[in-house]
Amino acid sequence: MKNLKLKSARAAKDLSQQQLADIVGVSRQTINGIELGSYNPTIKLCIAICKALDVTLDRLFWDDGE
Amino acid sequence: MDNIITLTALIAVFFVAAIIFLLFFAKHKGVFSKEYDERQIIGRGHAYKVAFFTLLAYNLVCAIIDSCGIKWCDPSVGLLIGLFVSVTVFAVTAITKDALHGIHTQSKSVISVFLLVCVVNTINFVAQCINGSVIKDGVLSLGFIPLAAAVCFAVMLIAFLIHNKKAKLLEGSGENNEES
Repeated sequence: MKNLKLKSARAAKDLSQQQLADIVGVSRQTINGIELGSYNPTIKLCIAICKALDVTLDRLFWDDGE
Repeated sequence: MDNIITLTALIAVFFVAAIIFLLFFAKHKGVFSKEYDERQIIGRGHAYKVAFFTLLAYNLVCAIIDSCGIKWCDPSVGLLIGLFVSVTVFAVTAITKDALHGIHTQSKSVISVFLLVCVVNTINFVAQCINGSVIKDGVLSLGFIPLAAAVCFAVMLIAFLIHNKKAKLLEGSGENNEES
């Protein structure tokens, strides 16, 4: 399932996938995989992404059935 | 003759010591730290598993051929070919998972290394052919190894180039969500 919340939060911060990847210390393909839903990140990476985007874990990674 | 052997052994020991020193130095400087991200580590683990079972299957096939009394290569050549095959399977699997090189390594350097190793081994194999040391007593001898290495690295290079091309095409079509 695609993670559109992450994509929109990243766009709101005006960051590219590569820029976000550099901030959290992963490859661009990893960020791409998370956004496409093909890769499930560890909680450690989720927290790093949330800190980089100034959002909560709930907002980015909680599936509220939308 | 003894002097030449001693000199060669000393040079070999010097090079091994230099490589070990450089590896320790690089590790101390943090060159290898945070080389792969978590997705890549999982991908490499999968690639190691596939390569391991490939080597097992290769050994099984070699054992069956040997038990049939068919001798097609020197034992050392058979061993090295098995290693090359499994390393190639590992590399190609890792390439398909974007996990061959670390997050700070440039693709161009990987391509350069593959191309260099491929060309050097091809030249070496041509030299072995001229010397007539590829087949001895009707079986493949150590002179065949450069060809095996060249083919393996050529396969890795082609897989890497195809994967990079596909990734760029996906980026161009916007399928991987890289528009902002």
